[in-house]
Amino acid sequence: MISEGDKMTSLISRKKENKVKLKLPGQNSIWLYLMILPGLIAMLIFSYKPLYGLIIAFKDFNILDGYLNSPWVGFKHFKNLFNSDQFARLMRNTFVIGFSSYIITFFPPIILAILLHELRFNKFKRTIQTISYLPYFIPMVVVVGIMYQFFGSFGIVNDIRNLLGLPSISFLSEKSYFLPLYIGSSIWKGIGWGSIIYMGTLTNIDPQLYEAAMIDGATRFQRIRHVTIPTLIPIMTTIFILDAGGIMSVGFEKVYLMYSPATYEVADVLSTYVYRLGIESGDYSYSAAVGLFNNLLSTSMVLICNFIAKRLGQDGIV
Amino acid sequence: MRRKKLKSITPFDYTTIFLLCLLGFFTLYPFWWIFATSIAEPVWLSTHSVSFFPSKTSFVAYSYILGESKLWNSMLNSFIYAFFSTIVTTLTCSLFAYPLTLPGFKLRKFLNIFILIPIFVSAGMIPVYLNMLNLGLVGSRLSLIIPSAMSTTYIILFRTNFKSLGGDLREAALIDGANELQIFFKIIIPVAKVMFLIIAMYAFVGSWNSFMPPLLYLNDDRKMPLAIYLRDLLISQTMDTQELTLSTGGEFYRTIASKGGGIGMRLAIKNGVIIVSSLPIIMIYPFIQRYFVQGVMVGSVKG
Repeated sequence: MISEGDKMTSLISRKKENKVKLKLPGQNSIWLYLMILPGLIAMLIFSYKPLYGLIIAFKDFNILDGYLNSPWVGFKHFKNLFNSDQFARLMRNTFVIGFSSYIITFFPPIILAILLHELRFNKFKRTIQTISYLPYFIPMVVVVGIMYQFFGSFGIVNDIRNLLGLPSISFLSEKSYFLPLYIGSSIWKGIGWGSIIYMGTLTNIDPQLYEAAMIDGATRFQRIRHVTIPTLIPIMTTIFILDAGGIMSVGFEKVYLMYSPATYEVADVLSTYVYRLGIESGDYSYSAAVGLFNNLLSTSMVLICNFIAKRLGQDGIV
Repeated sequence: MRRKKLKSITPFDYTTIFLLCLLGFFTLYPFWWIFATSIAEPVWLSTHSVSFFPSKTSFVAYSYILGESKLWNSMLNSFIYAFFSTIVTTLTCSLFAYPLTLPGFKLRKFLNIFILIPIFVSAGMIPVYLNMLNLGLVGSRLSLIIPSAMSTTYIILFRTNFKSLGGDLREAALIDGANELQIFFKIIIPVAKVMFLIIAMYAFVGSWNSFMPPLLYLNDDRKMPLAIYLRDLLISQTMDTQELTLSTGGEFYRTIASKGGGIGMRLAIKNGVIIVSSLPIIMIYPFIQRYFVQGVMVGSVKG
């Protein structure tokens, strides 16, 4: 039987314990605030402050008047954009390049991961993996540079064509080859790296699932269809949504490096147009408006894909 | 001990191996072809083509490349930018991430959202450029180092990693009278060394390969990083029959043209430049590749 005295003592000591825990210094030490300070300031200055600069999309901005005193013009720039000759072309190119490259480059890494996963020869597997990651690390300039050499007038592709009696094609100045080259090089650069994340998921599959399937008489393809692929669906969905934002914000760097006036018709996308108009020509307000439009499209794509995924029963990211 | 039944090698396996070998071939062949062309004898190269190995070899292209100071200068620039931005970014992100792992930290929820918003809401190329202009950073080397200090991805990776370290070490240190800063430098950094390495490598490679910021913010040849130099040399010449008047490519090629060798020399040099500029990456690649893969794995667990 616990005496009153003992009860009191245990109560007091428990209270003391609680108090000691609360009094541990640190959770709001000044150091913590100092630690986040550089990052906070950096992000405010470089990521948040430009958002204020977006107002120039609704103004006729000139440097002398600055942000505050330049006159308001409302949606004039957007109206000009939608009515311009280039708008149809830009939208079409951005959409075609973005969408087709998104869809087509989505699958090869998955296929690669599945193939690698089925392999039992570990040394070979690792060698191929290491080789396949290499193009990802090569800067885009070099990749495009290689393309210019490879597909150029003196490149191996035209050499083979000549050997077969076919005339040389200046691939990079031909409108019809822009898209295949763009997508092909995207696959070349990204297939290995893209497969990593799928490999990670696959290596966590319990081997017993495969054994059970084999005992039930499943063929290799059936095993892949019923064990491998369902495991990949969640991660595929996540990546599907995350990459969707990239559709409308078609990579500036790659198109910029690959295009030329000869291929503007099919290659000029919203982001390169913004660059030419804004940075090269100095038409800040208009190009800011185009850029804003581009960003809104990207965000909508992400939200749409998120919504579609949720509708299909998967977890979205928002 | 149960002996594993030896499975026979099926046609499926053969097909898989074949396909994977094809992949390996297509990945490596372009590099090989570029290299083979660069060591081809220029005069021979002007009228012949290389498929696997040139009939006549010569390293004369490389002798010119070694003398091209702009190339080496730009490599040095790239290295400087990558080195400093790696330090800045790794430190800033890790310092920022640490308080986010402490449940009692008052600003935690706010900051977590704070770093997520810029991913979805971006001001766009022009406002960002104008912002840099206003800050006086256009034309400065700092424009390639400071703005990239914060990266939500890195912060999240650090945060996840720090959380998994457990609070015992920290509590023990606190009882011993350490302040948070000391805990960070004396406990977190040594224990989470691998994560720091991974992020440092991501940051380094990211900076080395970065193209758009130098394109937008730099206008001085002497400050230009490798990426821009390569673009000028390799890509601004879209029609390879035209001579360029662009400062980088034009000058270099005019000097070369005066030394003879014709088209072949230009080709060999262009390809040689590609090889030389890829060398740093290819050399450290085997060592760092492992860490990058780890980084993706860590990120995917959280994601």
